[in-house]
Amino acid sequence: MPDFSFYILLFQKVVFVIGALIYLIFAIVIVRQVTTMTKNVNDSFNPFLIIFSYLHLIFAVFLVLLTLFVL
Amino acid sequence: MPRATDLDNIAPDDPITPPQDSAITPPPEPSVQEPSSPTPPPSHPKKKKKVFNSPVNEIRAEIDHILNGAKNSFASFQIRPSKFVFSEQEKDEQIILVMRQHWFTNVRWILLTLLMVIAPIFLTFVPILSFFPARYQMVSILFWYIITFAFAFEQFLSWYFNVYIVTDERVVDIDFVNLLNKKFSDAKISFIQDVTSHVSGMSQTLLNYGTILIQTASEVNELVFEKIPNPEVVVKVLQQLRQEEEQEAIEGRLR
Repeated sequence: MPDFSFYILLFQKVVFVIGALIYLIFAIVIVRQVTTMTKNVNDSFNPFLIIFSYLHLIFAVFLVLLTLFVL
Repeated sequence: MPRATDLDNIAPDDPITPPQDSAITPPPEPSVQEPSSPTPPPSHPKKKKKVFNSPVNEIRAEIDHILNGAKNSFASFQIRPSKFVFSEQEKDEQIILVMRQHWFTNVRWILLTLLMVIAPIFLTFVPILSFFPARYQMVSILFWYIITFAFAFEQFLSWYFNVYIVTDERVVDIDFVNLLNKKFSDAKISFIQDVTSHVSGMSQTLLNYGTILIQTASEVNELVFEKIPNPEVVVKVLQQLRQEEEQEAIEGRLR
């Protein structure tokens, strides 16, 4: 019979995975919004913002993988 | 200036030729020089090349003069930016000013971000995550940092994409609220009725930024340019642009 702490850790893992997935959706929204905004307002700093938004998305994907496989 | 004899039949852009046998001789144009004039060559040939020094050109020169005295506050106050374009811009519309909120308005979230960055250090003094396994602690801290990054990035985007634009034809306010709502408001310069600038508080007085309220007769009856640098310069530029629009209306060149 598994330990009671196992269920607590499992619950924590589920919370982390759900949190990471919500965050991933948020990161996708940011990429979409930055793309839309840069089309509306075209300034010299825009390419950096697009790169940042995609980096952020990659981090979010990394976080999901981390919560799934490391925890 | 020579007057047309039949004002009822003349179009605004018709050239007016003075009558040859007119009794009243028109005064000479100040900018046109006689070819056989014995006067010495001008010291500023560029200025003298203007054959027709119209009031509109004078107003534009005055706008340039006003803008030359303004401080460029990083990306918050761009004068005639060469690379800036917005999607609703018309083909022959010239951007005169692009403004964002003053850089000082970002200090609050930058300080908060720095606090969030150093917050995990306090976990060594207050071990609230110590009952988690090590890998859970690591992921928690990673979560914290990525949320910190997202907070700072979102704040920066909100500042960067909230833009106030003054063109030669209209004033534009582009707002992105919480990354999900875009608001675009514009008003033609000729519809502006009243411009009020408002500088209050110590930081605004010291750093010369403030809010401008633009009352218009258009559908959007008030545009608010919040916490922009050099508010009095913007007010003066808008006054000049209104004069230019009035002059263009008199000359019949209104777009």
